Amino acid sequence: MAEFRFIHCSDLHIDSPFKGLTSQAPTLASALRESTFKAFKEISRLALQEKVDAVLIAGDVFDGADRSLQAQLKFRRILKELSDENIQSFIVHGNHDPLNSWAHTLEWPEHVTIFPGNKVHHVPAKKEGKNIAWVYGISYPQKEVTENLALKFKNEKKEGFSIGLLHTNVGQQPGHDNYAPCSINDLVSRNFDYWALGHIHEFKVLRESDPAIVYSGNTQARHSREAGQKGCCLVTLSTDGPPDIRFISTDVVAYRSATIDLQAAESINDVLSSIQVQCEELAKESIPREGLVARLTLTGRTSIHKELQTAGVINALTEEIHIFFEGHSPWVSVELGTQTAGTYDINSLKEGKDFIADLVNLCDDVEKDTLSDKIRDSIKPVFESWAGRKYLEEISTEEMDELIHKSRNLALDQLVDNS
Amino acid sequence: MQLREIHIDGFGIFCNTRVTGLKPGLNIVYGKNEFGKTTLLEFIRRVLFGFPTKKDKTNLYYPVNGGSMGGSLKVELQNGEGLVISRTPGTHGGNVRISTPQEVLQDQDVLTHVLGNASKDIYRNIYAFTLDELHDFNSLTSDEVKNRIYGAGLGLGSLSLKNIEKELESLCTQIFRPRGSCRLSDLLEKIKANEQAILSIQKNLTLYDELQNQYKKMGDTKTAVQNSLQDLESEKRILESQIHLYEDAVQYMDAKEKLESLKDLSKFPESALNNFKSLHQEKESLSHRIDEEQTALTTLNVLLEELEVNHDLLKYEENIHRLQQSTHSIHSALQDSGKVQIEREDLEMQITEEIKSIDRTWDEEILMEFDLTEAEKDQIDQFAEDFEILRKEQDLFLDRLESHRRLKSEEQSKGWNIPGWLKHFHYGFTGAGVIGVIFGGIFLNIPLLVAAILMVGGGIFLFKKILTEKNSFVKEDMTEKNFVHQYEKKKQELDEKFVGWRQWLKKRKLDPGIGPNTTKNIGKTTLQIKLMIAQRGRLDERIEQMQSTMSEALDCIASLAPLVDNVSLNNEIPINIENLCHAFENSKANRERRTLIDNQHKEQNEKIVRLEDQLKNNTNEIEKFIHSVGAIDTEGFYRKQSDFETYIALKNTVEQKRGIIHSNVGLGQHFDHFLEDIQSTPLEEIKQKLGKRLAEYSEMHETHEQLLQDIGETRNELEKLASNNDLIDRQNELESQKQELNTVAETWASYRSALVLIGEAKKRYEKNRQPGVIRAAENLFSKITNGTYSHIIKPIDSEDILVEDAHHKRKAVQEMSRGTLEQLYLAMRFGLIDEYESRSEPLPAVLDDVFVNFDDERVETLIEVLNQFGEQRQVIVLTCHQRSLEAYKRMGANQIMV
Repeated sequence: MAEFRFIHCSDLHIDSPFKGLTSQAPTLASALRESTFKAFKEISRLALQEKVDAVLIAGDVFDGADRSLQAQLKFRRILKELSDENIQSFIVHGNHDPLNSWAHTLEWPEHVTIFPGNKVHHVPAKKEGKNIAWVYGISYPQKEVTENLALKFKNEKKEGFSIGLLHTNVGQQPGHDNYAPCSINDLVSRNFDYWALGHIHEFKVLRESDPAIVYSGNTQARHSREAGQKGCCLVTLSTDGPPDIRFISTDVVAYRSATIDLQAAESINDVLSSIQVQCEELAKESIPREGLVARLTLTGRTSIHKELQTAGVINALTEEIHIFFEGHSPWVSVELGTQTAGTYDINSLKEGKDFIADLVNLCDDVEKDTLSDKIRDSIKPVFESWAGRKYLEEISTEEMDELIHKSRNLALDQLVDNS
Repeated sequence: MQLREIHIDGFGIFCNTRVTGLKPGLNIVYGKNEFGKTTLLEFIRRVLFGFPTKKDKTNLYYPVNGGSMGGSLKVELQNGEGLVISRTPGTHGGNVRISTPQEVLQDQDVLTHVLGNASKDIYRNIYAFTLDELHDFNSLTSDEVKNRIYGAGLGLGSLSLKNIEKELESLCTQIFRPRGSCRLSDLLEKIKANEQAILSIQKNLTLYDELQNQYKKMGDTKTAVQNSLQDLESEKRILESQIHLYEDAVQYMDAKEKLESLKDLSKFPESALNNFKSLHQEKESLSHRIDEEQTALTTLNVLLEELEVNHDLLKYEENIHRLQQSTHSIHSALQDSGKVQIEREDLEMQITEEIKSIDRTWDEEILMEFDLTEAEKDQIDQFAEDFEILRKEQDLFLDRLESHRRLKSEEQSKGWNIPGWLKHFHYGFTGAGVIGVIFGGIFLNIPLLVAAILMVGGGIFLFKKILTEKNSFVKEDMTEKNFVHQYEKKKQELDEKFVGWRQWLKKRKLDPGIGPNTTKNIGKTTLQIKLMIAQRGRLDERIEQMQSTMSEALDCIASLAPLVDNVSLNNEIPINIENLCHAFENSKANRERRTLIDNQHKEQNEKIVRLEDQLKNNTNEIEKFIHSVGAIDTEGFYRKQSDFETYIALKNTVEQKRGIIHSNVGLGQHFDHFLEDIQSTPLEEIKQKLGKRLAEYSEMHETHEQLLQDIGETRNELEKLASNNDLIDRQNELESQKQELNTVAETWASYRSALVLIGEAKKRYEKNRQPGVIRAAENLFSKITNGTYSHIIKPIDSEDILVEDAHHKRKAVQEMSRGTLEQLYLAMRFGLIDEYESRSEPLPAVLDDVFVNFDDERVETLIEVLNQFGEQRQVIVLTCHQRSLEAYKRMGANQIMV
């Protein structure tokens, strides 16, 4: 019985900055910075520990746009570690790190194969001197690749297992750029044993066997929208039996979101302690990772709603939390958002026949379109005319609804006297 | 909805208070000062809209005079329905109960519906008038007044919409201003700066490749420089060695020349001189030894002459030996002979005596024959014993016999112990008995029979006894006879024994009269004597021996005396013996020594011969040797030898110099070149060349050092670039800055849209409701001002409120007098109520005595307006002023006392 064991990972995004954090405790900046690298290091440690035969990386190793020499050197360092232990690595480049993106001219260690982008090459994977498998792969020559790269793969019928390594969007998965699109059938028709895919930041087994088609997902989440487990796959192909695909978490920083209902809170201290409690819970869930980035939304109708709206309060709370968790293991970084409301009852306000009722009713569905237009108008000075507009995210329809909601609350805060 | 009754269980100062008799229209509630106007107002509000809790941080109006907080309001709806609304404090405003005649409902929603969805704020803003509102007027700016009046129409109470809008605007400008600094522009600057920094870092990173190339190039240059340095080095070394070895080279070449001119002396053995010398030495030593040996020989000869040997004496070795050995016995013989003689004589005498003591007739001969064996001893003993026994027995028999005889005589004298009659009696007895038996048998008389038998028996018995006695007597006689017989026999035996004994003695030639003991003693004595005889024999022997010894010795001495000087028969034997021995020993020793020396002599001769042989050999060898090296004689040899030495010296020089040169320059080609160079170049020139090369070398070395430094620097820079975290740090910072920007912009957007909302709501109000408000207000205002101002105008797109008089002259707010403003405000308030009620359930308006500070004329007018106003609705005025009460009463208001 012949066996080929390897680690399949992708979308390492080494040294890519974190998105969506407004502030980081200064002590955590470096921890966050190192997390992507550490996640990959974890993969390398796993490879050495499990004494795998090879490591397959399906693209997006780092962001070429960042032009980070560091990232490349770090990557190379890990590959050298693997190469020294005679573990081969096979790498294709993806849309974030295409071949034409600027990368420093580095020499790569022995046992490292980086597939070129002109056509599909196949390279043997050796085990005890024999060719146990053949890895087929092709890198992105440039960032936008719109052709179906899967169709370029052809099984040369050599001895051993055949594995395809490709950065692609199978079946037009939403939420991801549609590069090198293809379908599952395209992949199946190539007659390979295993497809190691990259691009989708989520562990997905699209097909169990004959061939197995697997997205290993990325190794470390970098913003709270990236949910799910992050890591790599430990795959064992054997001549008798289906592939054994095991997912192993490697992420170093956990991303969690939660809401905190402040209805019962009467003071800022109450708010602080609720946040602390929530963070501790999330931190506990995050073990054994190094750190936790908690995105907490304060909600509920609460009497301290107005206080929370005061400028600087949220920042002060964030700072307080960071100080509280200093030295904690895992470390904690929070992002606070408020969606609290005053203790007035919207519904009854709506029913009233006064100016406030009018205001509230303006935000109703019937009137909303004209209102949104007027609002969009009013924010043009920043969102359309301002020099810094390119850094601002467009406001979608949902976000507009939220905006209306928020502004209504703001107005009511002023108009409704709670005393 | 209108109030009819107010029941207070406990609230503030009220306890179990009832205010009844409230009617539609204008009601005036009068109470003394501090009677609790505000409290009452609050109570009404709270029953309708809920009791606050501690959280709300407002006066809770705990009942201070007892009673549980709460109460109820009796109300009447527009449709005539009567309700009782009661509430007690609790969560969510408290527990409210609405009781109709038909049912009791418990739900805030029901109440809200009853109230027409009016909120607490609505009620306060629209329906409640406090004095404070009017008080403020005096302190307001005209703009604020304007706002107030405007706001009055909106139903916002003392809230100024304008202020709210201003607040929001200022928040907006803080965040964003098209020109000038604001939060957004600050953030944007930071972002831009960061981006620049990132770009420059990234640009620097392109340096990385360049630096790599540079690094490599420098490496190559370094190698080249190192190579040329090495070349220079080796040249330098060559030159130096040339200088260094110049002398040696010259010497080398010189020696080599000279060597060639010499004859070939390679065959000359190196050790020739040594050999020659050693051979000579040998010769010397040999001669020396020969001399020595000769001397030794001479000495031996001398010794030999000195030895003296007495050969004759030596022949008699045996005799002398014997003499020596017998010295001792001679001594003792001399000493003891006398003694022993005497001893012998004594013994002889003793022997003779003893023999005689045994028996006078005896002599030694007989004695010697006499011998008592053990058996004989036993016999003697036996005899003795037997004699004893026999004697004893004899005595015994004699005794017995005598005693018997005595007895017998006694007995005889005694007589029979049986009476005579008895002798016959028993016959009679027996016969009677027999008769008795017969008679008994015939008559069969048993007793008689028995008795008869008995008698018979007795008779027999007696008979027997007599018989026995008789026998015994006879026996006794017999016994006596026996005894005598025995005694006689024994005596005979004894005598026979004696005879036997005497015979025995005679046989042994002993005196028959002696007894056994004596015989035994004789035996012992005989033994003793025998012993003595033996001893005497021994003594005789000794004497003989001694004599023989001495005579022997004398003989010997006599024979030997002539051979030795100091021995003569005159001396004592021991002395002679000594002297003889001495002389003998001497000679013996000398003889031996002579033999030894003879041997040595022989040996020595042999040795000398051998040595002379060796010497001869040696001489031959020397000659041979000299010839072998090609010389004729010793002189020649020495000459050859010195030549050879020169040869060797030269050779050594050549070797040495060559060795030095080799080790410094190398072999083969290098060597040859070197010599060529030396030959061709004078020393000075070489030195010059060296100087030049040294200069070149140090220059190149400097270049090398500089290069190394540069390389080091470049490497450091490369490492710095490789390990720089700035880029990723800045990128992360950039991301968070962008995020902050977004958040701030969002906040700005929300402020802006809040303004939009408010604007839109205002527009709507102005479009839909304000006209109504103004119309209503106009009416009232006209009335209040007694027709002075007939219109209130709210221009579009402006928040001004203008009043127009009968002459169509318009006045803006700032142009109006305080009083007018107040009136306008009131008019607006009333107008608002009017307009509000056009759309919803009318509620009772509860007012403070707002007119209290107005002048009398105005008051009248106002109250009248109020009255009119109250016609369609319920207005409750709370006052503690008598004057107001009067005025209201005059108007026909319903009076209620508290």
